[in-house]
Amino acid sequence: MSTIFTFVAGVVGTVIIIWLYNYSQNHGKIKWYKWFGVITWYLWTIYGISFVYLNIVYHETRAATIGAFMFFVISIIGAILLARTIGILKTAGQKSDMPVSKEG
Amino acid sequence: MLSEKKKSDQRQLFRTTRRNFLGLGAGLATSAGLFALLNKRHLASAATNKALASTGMDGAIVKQLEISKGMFGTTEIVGEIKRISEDMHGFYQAAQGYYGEDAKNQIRRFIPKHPLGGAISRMRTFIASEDAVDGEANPDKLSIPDPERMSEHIKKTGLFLKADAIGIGVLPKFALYTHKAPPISKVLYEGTASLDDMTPVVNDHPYVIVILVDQDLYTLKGSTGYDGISGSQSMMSYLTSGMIACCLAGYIRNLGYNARAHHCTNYQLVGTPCLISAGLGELSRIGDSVLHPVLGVRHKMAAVTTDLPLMPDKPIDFGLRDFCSKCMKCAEECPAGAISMERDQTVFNGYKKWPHDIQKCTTFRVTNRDGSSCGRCLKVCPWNNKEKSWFHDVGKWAASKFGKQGHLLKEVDDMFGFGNEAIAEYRWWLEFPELY
Repeated sequence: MSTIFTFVAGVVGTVIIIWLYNYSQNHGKIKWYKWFGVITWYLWTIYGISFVYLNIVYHETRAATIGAFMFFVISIIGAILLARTIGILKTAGQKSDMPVSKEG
Repeated sequence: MLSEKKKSDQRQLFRTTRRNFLGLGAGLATSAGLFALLNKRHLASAATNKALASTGMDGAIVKQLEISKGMFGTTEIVGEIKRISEDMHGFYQAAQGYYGEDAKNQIRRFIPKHPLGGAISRMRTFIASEDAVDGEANPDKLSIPDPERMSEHIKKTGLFLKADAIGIGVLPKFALYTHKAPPISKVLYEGTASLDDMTPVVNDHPYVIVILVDQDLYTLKGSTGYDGISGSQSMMSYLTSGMIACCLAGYIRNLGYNARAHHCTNYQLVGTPCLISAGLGELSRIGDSVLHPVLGVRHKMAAVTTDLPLMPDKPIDFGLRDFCSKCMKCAEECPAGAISMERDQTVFNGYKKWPHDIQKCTTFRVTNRDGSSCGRCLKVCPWNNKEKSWFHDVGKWAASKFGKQGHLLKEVDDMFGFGNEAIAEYRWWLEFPELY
């Protein structure tokens, strides 16, 4: 299971890097500290998933619950802040750079 | 349905040039290669550790210590350490009635009152005899390798015999009892010996091989620490380590060298200093228990003293003295209140240790009406109750590096509930409260 998890984590990480790289080509360069933020967020999230998964496997219910809360709340807040900093997510009044489906 | 423009935008977003794609691929492949190389080096190092020191150290930073005046590993020696007689042992004291009538009566049944504990405990009597632990060495010495390679071979032999950890030390002479009591099983259960039959201990072997057997992590995680399985865990590890020690001693005698096994039904020595000498841990807050960086105190020991030419290991330091001075989780959780809450060590028989009330500890174990014996300190100690994982490795690294912050690490351990819960999924044994 850990091999599959590591493989999936690698694939997701690669997709995020390619996606952000191309995003920066189209919407302006992403500064180094924003890349650093993305990598930190990614590692935090991956390690959070690993922590929760392993504690569930070993029946450490309390550790899994507290770990999920600690890792994922910070991960979600971090994702929103990063998306706004990079410009993927605009504040109200700003037009997002992301294409929006008119049918949606 | 997505609009054509959106589809086009998304395609654009994931589109990259061949050059960039190949560059990224090369970067990732190089990173993976470096990671694999480092990991391989780590694995190779762990394999060597397993052969030489029997086990990797799972995150803890372990330093080997040179022998220095006034220090025995990380234990401070402040005077002469006097050898003691085996009947000073807590269980012998209880058997003689020094810990009260209830303890004196209960000591005969505190293990056998659980059917499994009784069955395992009875088997120990078959390896208690002098014939099982000692004998004449083969008069024709066989050809053996140099001490370094022989030490490695003996450790691999111990692992083959199912030891969980094994080390070799110089035999500290103060570890030997002045007088040896008859096997406690014969005194307590069979009634075929009495404590009047004490014999002087004479043992001039220079080395001690120490064997540790795990009391089983998952059983411990399922237990409260003082329910029915606690006594069986102890007996299983005592029996297994004793069997290994008897086999190993017999093997060494067959090679043409003197060797004597020491295990829980036939000791000539106190285990604690032998464990420290063999580099298998540091003296912990829990009584005279030595804490191993991987097994914690979740083990029982047996030993072989021998004159086989060997290369001894060195005592180790992984920051436990600092950690135990601050953590105190075992002391807070001890149902008998036997473990000291004192931060500093005090002098006892010429060396420094945390005070431990052996009477309270022994009395609680033999009179426990919630189960058989007690191992609550094993259950809750942050070093004991962890399986191998990256976050526990980080925890052990932090504990060995920042031991003075042991109270904070203990808070983290408590926050996640490690060691505090009896996990139902691991409770495989039967309980018989009517027998306790």
